[in-house]
Amino acid sequence: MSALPAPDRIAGAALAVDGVSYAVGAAKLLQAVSLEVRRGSLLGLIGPNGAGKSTLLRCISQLLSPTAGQVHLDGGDLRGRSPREVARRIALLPQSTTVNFAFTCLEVVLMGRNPHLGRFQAEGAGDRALARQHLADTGAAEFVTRLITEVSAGERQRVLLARALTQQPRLLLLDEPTAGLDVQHQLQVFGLIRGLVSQGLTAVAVVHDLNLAARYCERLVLLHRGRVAARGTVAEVLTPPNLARVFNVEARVEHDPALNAPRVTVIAPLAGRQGRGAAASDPEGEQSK
Amino acid sequence: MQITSKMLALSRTLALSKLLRRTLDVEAPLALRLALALGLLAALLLLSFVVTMAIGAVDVPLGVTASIVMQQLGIPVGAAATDVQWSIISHVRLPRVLTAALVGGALALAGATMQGIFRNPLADPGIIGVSAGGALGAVVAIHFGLRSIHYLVTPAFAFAGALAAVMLVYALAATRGVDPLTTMILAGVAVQAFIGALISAVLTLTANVNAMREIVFWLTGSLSARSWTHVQLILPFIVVGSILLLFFARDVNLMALGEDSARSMGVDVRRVRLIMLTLAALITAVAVAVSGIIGFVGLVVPHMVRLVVGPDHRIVLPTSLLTGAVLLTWADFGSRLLLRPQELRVGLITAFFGAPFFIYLLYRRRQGTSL
Repeated sequence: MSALPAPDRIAGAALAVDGVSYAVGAAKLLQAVSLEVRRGSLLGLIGPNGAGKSTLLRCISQLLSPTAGQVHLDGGDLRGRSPREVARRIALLPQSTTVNFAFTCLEVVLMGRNPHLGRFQAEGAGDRALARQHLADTGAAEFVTRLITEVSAGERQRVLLARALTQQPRLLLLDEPTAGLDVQHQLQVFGLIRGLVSQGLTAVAVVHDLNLAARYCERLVLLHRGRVAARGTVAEVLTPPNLARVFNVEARVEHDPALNAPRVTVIAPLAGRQGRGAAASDPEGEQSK
Repeated sequence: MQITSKMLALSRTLALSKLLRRTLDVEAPLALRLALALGLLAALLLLSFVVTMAIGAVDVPLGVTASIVMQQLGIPVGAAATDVQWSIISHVRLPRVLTAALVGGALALAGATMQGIFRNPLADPGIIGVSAGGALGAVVAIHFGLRSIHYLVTPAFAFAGALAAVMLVYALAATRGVDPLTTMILAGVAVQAFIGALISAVLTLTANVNAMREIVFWLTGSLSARSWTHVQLILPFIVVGSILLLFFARDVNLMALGEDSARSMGVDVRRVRLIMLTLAALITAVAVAVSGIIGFVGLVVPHMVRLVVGPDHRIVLPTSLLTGAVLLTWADFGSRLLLRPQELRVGLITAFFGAPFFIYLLYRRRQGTSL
């Protein structure tokens, strides 16, 4: 399968990923991935396990240095910038976060101010106000003095989202923000992200649940074996042929009038071909944290 | 009247505790919390110095002890001391308590650093092989009688052994692809076990009973007969190492959320980790070199400190330093006095009190109190 040609330039794209490749030894985790994200929109990254979704997020956030290609944010190349400089522009909510020390939720949220503070500068009243503001935004205002080790998974994810927002990023990267959350909290977290995006935040989220992706993302990029297999609007990407080709499943896609979004029903795995997604040994396995 | 005054005293105590609580509250400005915690501990440390120095085989009045300390600091105040008192305090006991405080502070700070970096409350300075390496170095020096060349040969060997062990652990852990922290802990365990076997082998080969006794003694740590030379040797390392470690206190907080999160908030995790581990290993090596193996200070003190001041490493690190200094000063005092005129090993005291206390902390945690 060949990579799709680079997308048409979106005028004023906040994020432009241009031909990014990443390899560890002989394993090519990403091959010439290009995508653009409009300011104030949410892009969903979908694809089977090992497709390179997390690797792409890590390349965008400069946790990994791409072996080829560039990442531009608001027109500026991110290469060679210090972690602090990147952190003032991009916030990342990793897939799962365990906190081993009993910080209060407010202390955790205040950590987001780090890239804006000098080495011996303590957080000031303004930083605290900002932290409380974002805790309120994420519906976690009452957690201020509670310990991050003692709140539930859904509550913790909201606090960590507030922490990412307190960085005041131009771009928010989310790696499966609702993994391990129950349905109510899944909707809550995505509703929250949606609200932030409508206020002008640019976001890229790795989403495993195709229906959540269909419902909350403006555009999707479908990754397969480290390459872009499809990109475009939700309706353009979530088609039965694409799902058959990439996920190796037979699927039905209908329009759900109540949600005004496509709804994917997976019917059965396709027989006869090697299921990439379920393959036990995957040379392009997503880099584990 | 009496009742009124009692109530007044009580209300004052309450007001003070309220003030304390407010100041220790996370909502209070960091600088205020830090100033309060460090101020209290510094005062406690000075008090501990004076009290533990005054009592011993020859008792020296507290006032005289304090005035000798002041005069050593260049402040000529207080009562006149006899020559004997002067000599006991300034040549014997003062260097000893200073060594105890420096070693205790270094071990506790290194422990707090390791627990923060490894995100593991069970980490202690020994986890990357420092203590074991130091022990092997000292054991070799004693076995071959090198100590007779100069009394600082044993510390020098201990220091070299400690650093060599850490470098070996680093080298083993520096393989690509695996989580380096986990690899480092495993490499530390392996190196410690290997060195333990070597130490046993050397012990078996030691025919000289005195040397054997000395080795066993060294392995339980002691601060007896530590001189100004020892203080001068370790002071610069521990002061500079500690100050540099404090530079990275906030980075350790962020690392508690994991490497990716910390990195995405602007911490150069790999670099900070390497610098901090090196500094922590260095001050531990220096401490081990002059005191032998003193367990549980590095493990327990950070836990005690976090119970009171919370988990913010900007407070935990300096507070652990001073708390470790105070505790080892008293542990050494206990080692001098408990079986007078015999002297106990200070490592024995710290283990005797540290282990049950640590179990108590674990028990508290099981009951739902987070560490």
